[in-house]
Amino acid sequence: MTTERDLDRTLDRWMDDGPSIVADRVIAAALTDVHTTRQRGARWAPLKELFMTMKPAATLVAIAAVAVLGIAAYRFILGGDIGMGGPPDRVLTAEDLPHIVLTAENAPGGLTVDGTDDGAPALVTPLHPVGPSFDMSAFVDALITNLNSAETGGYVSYAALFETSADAEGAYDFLVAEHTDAGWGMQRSSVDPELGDESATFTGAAYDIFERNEVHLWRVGNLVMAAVGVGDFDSDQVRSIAELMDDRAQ
Amino acid sequence: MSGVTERAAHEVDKVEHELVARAQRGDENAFADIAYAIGDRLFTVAQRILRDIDLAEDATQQAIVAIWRELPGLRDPARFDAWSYRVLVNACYAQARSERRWSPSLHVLDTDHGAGDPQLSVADRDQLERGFRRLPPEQRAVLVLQHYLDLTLPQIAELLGVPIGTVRSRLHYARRAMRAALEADARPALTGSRPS
Repeated sequence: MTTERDLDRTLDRWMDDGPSIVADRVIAAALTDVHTTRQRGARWAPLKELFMTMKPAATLVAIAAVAVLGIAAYRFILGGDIGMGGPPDRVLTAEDLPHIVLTAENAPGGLTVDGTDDGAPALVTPLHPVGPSFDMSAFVDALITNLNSAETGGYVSYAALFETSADAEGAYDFLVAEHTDAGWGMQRSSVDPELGDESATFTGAAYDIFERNEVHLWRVGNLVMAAVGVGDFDSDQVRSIAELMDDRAQ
Repeated sequence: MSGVTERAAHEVDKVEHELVARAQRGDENAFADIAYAIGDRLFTVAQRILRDIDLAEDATQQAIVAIWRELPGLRDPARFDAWSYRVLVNACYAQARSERRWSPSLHVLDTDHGAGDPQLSVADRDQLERGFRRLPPEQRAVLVLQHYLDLTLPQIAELLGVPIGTVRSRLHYARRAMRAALEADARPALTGSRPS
């Protein structure tokens, strides 16, 4: 009869037998694969690190930031740079992107841009790592920025440009699917945020970083845009960013 | 280094948290250093679970790629070692299930590492090998984590992400099967020595 102790001893000894060095070619092959493998949520990772170290700031600063944001939006409206609602009467171009997305040059006070990407890498940033590929045939350009607030969580300003409105409609539907059951599994709000030509809001876990996110996704003509709040974000701030971008695109 | 025993810690150099943090930000050079640092220990555990060098190499390669892909989602770099074992075990499950070469009835003894522990007879090792190969991968994994990495049941449960009762149950069935394998080997000898 094999006692429990005998069995333990036998298994311990038996497990000790065996190779303990992996061939270098195995690691080399893995690293070759790594080179062509996109990290999940990699482009959002710098946000995480930044937000983990953020300290709460004074409410006064928060109020000032919101006020500046409001003034900036108000100036755009009064300045005649924009229309009020409805589809644009022009086709947006790649040159418009830096004037629509919140960048270091045009972000409202209280928001600091700490990451920027453009082109195809920017386009695919919000996509779930598993799923169908984006149809790139009508893709023109994209721009994305990560924004840090001194008071609340992080924000993202995103815009992707396509050749025609019809192309952008297809891209919008694709991005909606990426944020719902076909992708990140976020909850789609029953309330339409009423941005641009068509729009949707999603909440929940996404991008493999934060449990709490809010995404406004919308289309204006041939441009698809998103304003995202991650982590300890302020919903009003996400909405302000979305409205500011929407106004700029009109 | 939660979930990783002294033994595992002695066998491998602990991966620097700073290196992990850099790799989380997409630094491939930092990740290459990590891959070479953890490669041996991942392979060693994979070989114990799969009992096949080719499959263990495939599982190790898959695990390293998966670790890279999922690394930004690792919230605490201090838990990298335990987390990497979890990724590896999942890669072993995938290998075991997808690879036709893996079969409970297949019997291939490793011959690359000499005669093994002299205190274990060839017959014992052969029976252990046979018994182990009949186990499903989940039961194999808990045996390896307990007897090779010397993890406790709560540590195994944490590493695998399953309830402790599940670990206990898998261990119970696995040990019973291994005991039966060893005693099956002993039975003919006892019969042969019985006085007539």
